[in-house]
Amino acid sequence: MSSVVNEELGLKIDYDENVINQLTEIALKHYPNEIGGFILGKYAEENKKAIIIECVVATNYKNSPISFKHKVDYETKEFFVRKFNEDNLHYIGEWHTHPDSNSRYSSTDFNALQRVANNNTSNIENPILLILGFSKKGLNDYSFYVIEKNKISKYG
Amino acid sequence: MSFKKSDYLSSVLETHRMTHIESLVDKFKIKRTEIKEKLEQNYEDKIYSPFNSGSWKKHTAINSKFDLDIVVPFKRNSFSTITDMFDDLYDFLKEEYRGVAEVRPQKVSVGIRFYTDDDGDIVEIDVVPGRELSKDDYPETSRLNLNINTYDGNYIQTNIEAQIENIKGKSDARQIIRLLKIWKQQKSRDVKSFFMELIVIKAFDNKLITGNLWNKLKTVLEYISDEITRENFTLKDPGNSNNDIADTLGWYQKQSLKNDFDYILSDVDKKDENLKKHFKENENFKEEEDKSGSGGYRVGDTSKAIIPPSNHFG
Ligand SMILES: [Zn+2]
Repeated sequence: MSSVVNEELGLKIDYDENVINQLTEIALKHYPNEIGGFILGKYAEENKKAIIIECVVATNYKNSPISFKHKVDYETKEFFVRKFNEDNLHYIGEWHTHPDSNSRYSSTDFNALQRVANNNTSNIENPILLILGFSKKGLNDYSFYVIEKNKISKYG
Repeated sequence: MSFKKSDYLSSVLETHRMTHIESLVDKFKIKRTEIKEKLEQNYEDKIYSPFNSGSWKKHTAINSKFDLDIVVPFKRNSFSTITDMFDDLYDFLKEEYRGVAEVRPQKVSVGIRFYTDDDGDIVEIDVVPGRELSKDDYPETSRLNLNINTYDGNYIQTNIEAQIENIKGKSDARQIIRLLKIWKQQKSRDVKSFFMELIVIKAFDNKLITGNLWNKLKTVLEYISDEITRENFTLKDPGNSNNDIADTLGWYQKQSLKNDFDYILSDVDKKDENLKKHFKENENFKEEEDKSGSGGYRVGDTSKAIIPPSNHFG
């Protein structure tokens, strides 16, 4: 297990490096387009720590080299309900790739995270965002972000 | 104590004012000047002097989101096709800002997004190339053909200076435009700012809009709700009357905008304070700020699955 900390907010994320390797493979498969999906996990230590258990690819999406759009359709909703009921896993955030680029967030990404936090029905105020910057040769870098009261901040 | 709708709306506008972030605006201006200089050096007599457009120039910017556009008028004989012009500009900017900014082709512009600086600020500027319609026409008419990146490689003709002129002096309309931009950003609605500007101005042209800020907003919302889904509803581009900007929204988008505005009107009608749900102040610039933080990840009801909304990343 690896761990990153956001000092400012006192928040942690635990994750398995293998998840990053898997996502890099998925990223390369979709090159030169972006790809992404959802992060599932649990909270621990009085909610100070988020543990990433798995990252899934969205099933209903549109993508291009500079954008990734997903649709949370009926099937996707059912998926979240099933994951929760059967494995006690929560939706804790989003991931996507930046082909031929780095893992800095864009203003679109910022807006997207705000959309999750401000969405009345999603019930999550601090969603996590994982971005993987990569090129044909492989992973460049990856970063974790979290949004807190309309401000985005980075881990580690 | 009674809730004053107009005072509240003024506070929404006040907390979104650009002067709250003057230093960031300065950073933008410095970058914009730098970009213009680079363009003039590189293209020399292939272009006329680049000028500023965007919401800053139109005085409708809000501080949580503002776009500073530079328009580059290319001469007719600079490139044989509009696409070549667009690609050349993209290649040039990409090369010029390698390692300093991310440069991306967008629908009508090339977006430059500078990496986060030491203050954590991100400067983002769009460069819009346009080509004059025929040789030596631009200085006379200020008409330009813009590239639109669609699959059929289309382009449209417009007059950006006439678009800017259209909104000048209309300070009442500008207030309402800014409120609706704040609304659309807070609610993540996918409506082009240009569309909002034109429809608000049209409302002011067609309706007697007076009274306090809430009265004005209400009349504009009612006008949009009444008109937007009409079959013959048009919004002429002031830069070219052949362009109908109403067409840029599909039937579904128009209908949902109508629903949104009907909802605001009926909700506020029920209870004045409901206005707060629809237009939020900018928390970053409110007088007092509570820094709770460190309470861990906040999730609501953990006894059921969390369902996120559909979303869009860049
Ligand atoms: Zn992104």
